[in-house]
Formats: sequence, C-alpha cells, structure tokens
Amino acid sequence: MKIKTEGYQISWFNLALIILGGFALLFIIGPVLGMFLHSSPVKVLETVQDKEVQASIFRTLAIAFTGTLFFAIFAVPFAYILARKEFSGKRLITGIIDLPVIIPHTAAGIAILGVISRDSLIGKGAGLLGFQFVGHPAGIALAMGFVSIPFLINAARDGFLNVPVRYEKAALNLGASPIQVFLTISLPMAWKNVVSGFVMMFGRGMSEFGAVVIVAYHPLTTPVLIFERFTEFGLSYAQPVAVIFILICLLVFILLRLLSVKKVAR
Amino acid sequence: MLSIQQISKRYNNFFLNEISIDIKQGEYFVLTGPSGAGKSVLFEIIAGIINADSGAIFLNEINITNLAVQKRKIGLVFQDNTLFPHLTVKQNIKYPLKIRNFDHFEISKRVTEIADDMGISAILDRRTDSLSGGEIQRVSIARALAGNAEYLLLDEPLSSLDIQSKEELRILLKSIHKQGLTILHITHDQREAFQLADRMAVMVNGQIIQCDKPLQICKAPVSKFVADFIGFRNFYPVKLFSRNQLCINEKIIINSPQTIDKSDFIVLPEQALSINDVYDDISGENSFTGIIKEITYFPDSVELTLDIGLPMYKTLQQSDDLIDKLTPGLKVQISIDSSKIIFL
Repeated sequence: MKIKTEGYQISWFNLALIILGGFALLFIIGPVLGMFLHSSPVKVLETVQDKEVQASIFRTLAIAFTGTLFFAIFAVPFAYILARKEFSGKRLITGIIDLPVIIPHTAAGIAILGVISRDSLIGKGAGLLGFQFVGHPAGIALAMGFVSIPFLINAARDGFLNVPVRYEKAALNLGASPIQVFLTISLPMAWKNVVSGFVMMFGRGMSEFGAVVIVAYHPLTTPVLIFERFTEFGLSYAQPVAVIFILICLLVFILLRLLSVKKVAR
Repeated sequence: MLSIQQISKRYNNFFLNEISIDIKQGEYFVLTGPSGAGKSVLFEIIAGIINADSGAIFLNEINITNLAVQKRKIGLVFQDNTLFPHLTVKQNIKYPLKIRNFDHFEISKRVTEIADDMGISAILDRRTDSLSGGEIQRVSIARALAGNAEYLLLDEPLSSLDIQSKEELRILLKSIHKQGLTILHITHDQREAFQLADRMAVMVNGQIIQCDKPLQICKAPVSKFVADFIGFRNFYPVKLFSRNQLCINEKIIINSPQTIDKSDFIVLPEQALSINDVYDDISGENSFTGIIKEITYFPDSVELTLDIGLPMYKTLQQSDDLIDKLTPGLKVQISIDSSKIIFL
C-alpha cells in the first residue's frame, strides 16, 4: 500500500524508516539543542571571557591535535601493513585494535596509569629525565590517544584497502621504491580516509574524560573542567562551558572535514 | 636479448610450467592464448613484480631474476588502467623521471618529446578520469617509455578499444617498434597477433605449446587447439584409408599426392579451398558438391558457410566477381587442393 502525495509516492515501509530514523536523529540533536536553548547568552559570553575556560579549551585542542599527529606516525604505517600484508595472527591483532573502544574509559585510564605511573618502568625512566607523565600534558595525550587511536587505524586501513594494488605495482615498475610508492601513491590515494580517521581520532581524543581524569586531573582539560564545575557549582555553571566547547568542537570538525574534501578534489 | 629460462610459478589455482623463451633485441613478440593461461603472470614475473618459484631471467646476459623491480629496465603497461587518478596526464608521465631525480629541465624536455611522439600533447593537463580508452593506452605507454624502458611489456593494450582507436594504436605501436624498442605484447586476438608479431607464442594452461613466426604457425600448427586458436575454422578428425587417401568424418574421401604416415586431424586453410558456381560437372579429383547455408558480409570480405556433408567455411574478398552470383541455398562446386592440407 502506498500513500499518494502530490508529486510522488511513499510506501508504508519508507515512512516507517523515516519515522524511526527521525527518532534516532532527535536522540542525538535533542539534548544538545536543549542545552543550547537552556543556556543564557549572557552567561555564555561571560564564560567565553573566563581565562580558566579559555586556557582549558586551548590546552585540550593543542594536546589532542599534537597527540593525534604523533600517534598518526605509527598508526598510518600500521594501517598500511594491515591492508596490504597477510600474516599469522592478523585477525587477533585486528580485534585488539578495537579493544580501547569497548572497554570502559576509566578502566583504560587505570591501564595507562599502570604503565606510566611513577613506580612503573616508563615512569621511572621519565623521572630520571626530570619529568612525569602523570599530571602532564604528555600523559593526557597518551590517555586521549589510547581511547581514540582505533578510529585512525581503522579508517586508514579501509582507505588503503580501497587503493587497487595495481597502482602500486605500476609505480614499482616505473622505478619507485616501496617507500616512494607509499608516499606518492598509496597515501595520497587513501588521503580522504586517513584525514577522516585523523579527524575522528582528534575529535574523540579531545572529548575524552574517563581516561584523562585518572591520568591527569590537572592541568584541566575542558571535559574535566565541565565535570568539575558541575560537581562543585551545579548544572548552570557547567552548561555554558559545555556549549562553548561543543561549538568549538563543531567548528574544528567542520574545518578539518573541509580541508580533507579540498585535498581530495584537487 | 631477454632470455626466460624454465620459469615456474604456482599462483592461486594454476601453475606456470617451465616457460622458456628468448626474445631478441628489437623483436616484436606476441604472447597469445586463452584467458587464464598465465600470460599476465608471466609478464609480472619478467617485470619483477612477482617472483618465480624457479627458473631464471637474463637481460642482455645479466641475470635479473632477483633484481628489484625498480632496477629492471622493463616497462609494463597493465591490462587495466593504472594511470594514477590523483595526478594529471603530465604528472603521470613525469612520475618515473621525478622518482629518478631527473632535473626539472630534463623532465620537461622528455615529457614534451614523448607527448609529441605519442600524439598526446593536447591532453597533458587533463585529469586521467576524463580520458578515452585510446588516450589512456597512449598515456600509459608514454609513461612506461618515459622511464627509459629498453623492453616494453604490453598486456592486452588494444582489447578494450573501439575499432578506430585500435587501428590508430596498432600503427603507433608499429612505429615505436620501428624505432628499435623491443616489445612483448599479450593478446587473445589472433588478427592483432598476426598484424604485429615478428614471432609469437601460444600459451595454454601455463605452458607454451608453440613458439614461431606467425606464418610458420599458420603453416604448421602443432595441435588442433593452436589451429583453432589462431583462427582456422575448417579442421576435421580424419581416418587414413591408405598412405595416400584419408576420410573426413567417414563422409568425404580425399586423395593426397603426399604420403601420410599418421594424422588424427587435418586443417583445410583458405588457400586449400576453391569455390565454383558451376557444379554440374564434378569430375576433378577432391571436388565435391556443397550448398551455401549462410553468407556473412564484412567490410572487406564475405564469409560463406557451406555444407558438403559437414560444415565448411570459405572467405572471399569483396572484389571477387563470384560474390554477386552466390545466394544462400545455391549448389556450388568445392575443390580441395590436397597439397595445401595441414596434417596435425
């Protein structure tokens, strides 16, 4: 049975899909929109000028971006190996990559802390150099990276899988070394996926609270600051910070997406 | 000279079995055979993209079997389009030169020269996804030549082109070859093979079953498969009645002046058959009455499907006066020149 409208027909099935999909979309948009509507513009403007808020936002973005860039140096070549090479235990490794996504992030924080605490081997090594991961931006970057690196690895691997091997064979035949093939053919052709994974990792990293709060409550990242203001002063103090952070996240997200689209379109 | 010696490779579901070929400098060598015969795998082994399980490859008497693919001066144009989609035509041609750190001036000079030779100067700034099939092949060959390849391997370069582009590219390949380049060319189109090859090999199930000059393969195909593959249509199982008489399908008896020791199949090539529209007086030796079952017209020829108790095919040139007199159902006299029969 079909519903007739003026220009076209919609089947009951399609209508059901639209309604159910609409609810899913509302579930995402509703709380965010509600928060924007309940926040007083005056309070938001006041919060924008708050030095502590400004510092935490800048810190969060800087640590997340630097961390993502640092981990990309390892994650992208690893993704290429996963896309191109066959080896025993590959399925197991592919499963392990997704582990940070499914474990509770506070547990992830505990796991990271176990590796970088003052008593650990790495922590002692860092201590000898006069520096500690715990309570340091580097520790925050590790916590952010741990929970978000699967996004980059998986997206980059899918990107490399989408590059037909024949292009790489052709480049080899034209005299390129394997590393030149990777840098001039595979990576540019998988660029869209790599950037998309980078954006996802960056976005997921900067919004991380659970793992970060265990590794480093201070210096404050914005998610920790929102939590702190909520527990100490209540919802009305936490809301403006959340609104500002969401807007900045959206802005950065859109900018990076546009950048990746332009790069591909060239 | 490129010398391929007893190359074997187990690859997915088939086995490349001890392939040996010597390709002389400046030769146009065509490798033909049905799909899945292993032709493309052999090319990838020669180019160094995949390694053989055993055997050796010598280029100008230097063993290159284990030489890295980048260091072999063998250009390969793949069957599928491998022009890099994120680069323009010009950037694609520049690629092997930039990889080898040629200076900017040298790169520009070489790209201009090759583009002129290949007739692609007007499309240098185009994106590769906007090219026609013929343009893709020209740019692919130009890119392979830019890398100073001494040997050019072409894997089905004409197979996806329309008739006009095919003819243009065929002429271009002949012209490149005349400049001294050694070309190895894969095709399953026997017409293309005969038009281009100095020498050709027929490959089936990972083995080369015949390798010779095209004319020689036509004169003496080694098997029914080769005869069929290179385009002979009139081949028949035979029984020997005597050393000078054989019988096709137990229906047609042919007397042969030459002594036949053993033969299971014969091929009746075009030149062994003649047709006459006067059939009343069947008096000559090896002459039979046949009926024209079908006439198929081509731009330069006419193909007759005949029935003389078994199906037979004869091609006449468009200029042949006989064509106007022939109609389907007409009885004709068919004479077989037994001296031109090919015994398999």
